[in-house]
Amino acid sequence: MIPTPESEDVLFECIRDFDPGLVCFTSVYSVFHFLAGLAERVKKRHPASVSPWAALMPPCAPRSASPRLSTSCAWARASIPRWNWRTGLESGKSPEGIANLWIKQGDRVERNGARPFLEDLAALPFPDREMWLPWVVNPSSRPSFLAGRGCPFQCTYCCNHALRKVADGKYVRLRSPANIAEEILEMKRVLYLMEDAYLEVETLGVDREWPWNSAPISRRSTISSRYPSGTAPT
Amino acid sequence: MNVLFVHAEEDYFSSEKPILGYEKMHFGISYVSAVLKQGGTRPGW
Repeated sequence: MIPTPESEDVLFECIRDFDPGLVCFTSVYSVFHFLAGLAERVKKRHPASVSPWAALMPPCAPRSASPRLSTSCAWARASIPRWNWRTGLESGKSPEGIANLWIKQGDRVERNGARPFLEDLAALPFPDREMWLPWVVNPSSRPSFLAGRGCPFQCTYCCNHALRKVADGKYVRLRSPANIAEEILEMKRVLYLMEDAYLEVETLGVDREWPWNSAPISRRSTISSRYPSGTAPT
Repeated sequence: MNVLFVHAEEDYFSSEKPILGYEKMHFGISYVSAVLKQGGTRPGW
């Protein structure tokens, strides 16, 4: 769910009705402090709840983020941690020793190491878009598809140069055109009126052959091509 | 176990429908939710 300063009560109604064992928070830096305050209020009303964080600020600056995060919480350092923490909680165990997570219990912070960046992006399931449906004004709007992860450049206005240091392994990764096409087709089956697909990637220049192999995805699959593909550098 | 995802937007459209279109979707928790669904968990949002 997506609470705003005017709709905090909706979150507490949702917790009451849904009875979650985990309440997971995520935000961009600019609203981190709003959400951290909200998490504190959740913790006060529901002391037994556990709150994992998957925001950008904790992985990049965990020491500055930790004072604002309530007890019994953890935050991911990079990519998706192994979610055996969930199964551990279900059997009544306290979470500990889980790579990719820093875990705060009272004033103590357990700093676990990071797993290497996931090299094969095709190993991931396609992102869950259904979860956003209740919160989107125009569900028929053009969806984005993440065509790769990571960037080799050191631009001063961007966080990629910091994020690449939080784990080992290959940081700049590109998905295969076939894998991207499969995801677009799956989306098209749900949103059959979808006319545009926005392929989002940090850099087109790291592999000069890849964008030209990916551009004519419509001709390499069964996706009908009503509009020409194009690039829009930002 | 039920898992609730809570996300915040800085520039939201309205309190009822904060996100204008799918291009504003946050990928991080979308992938986490997909992994959880694969494992049989019931995510909420």
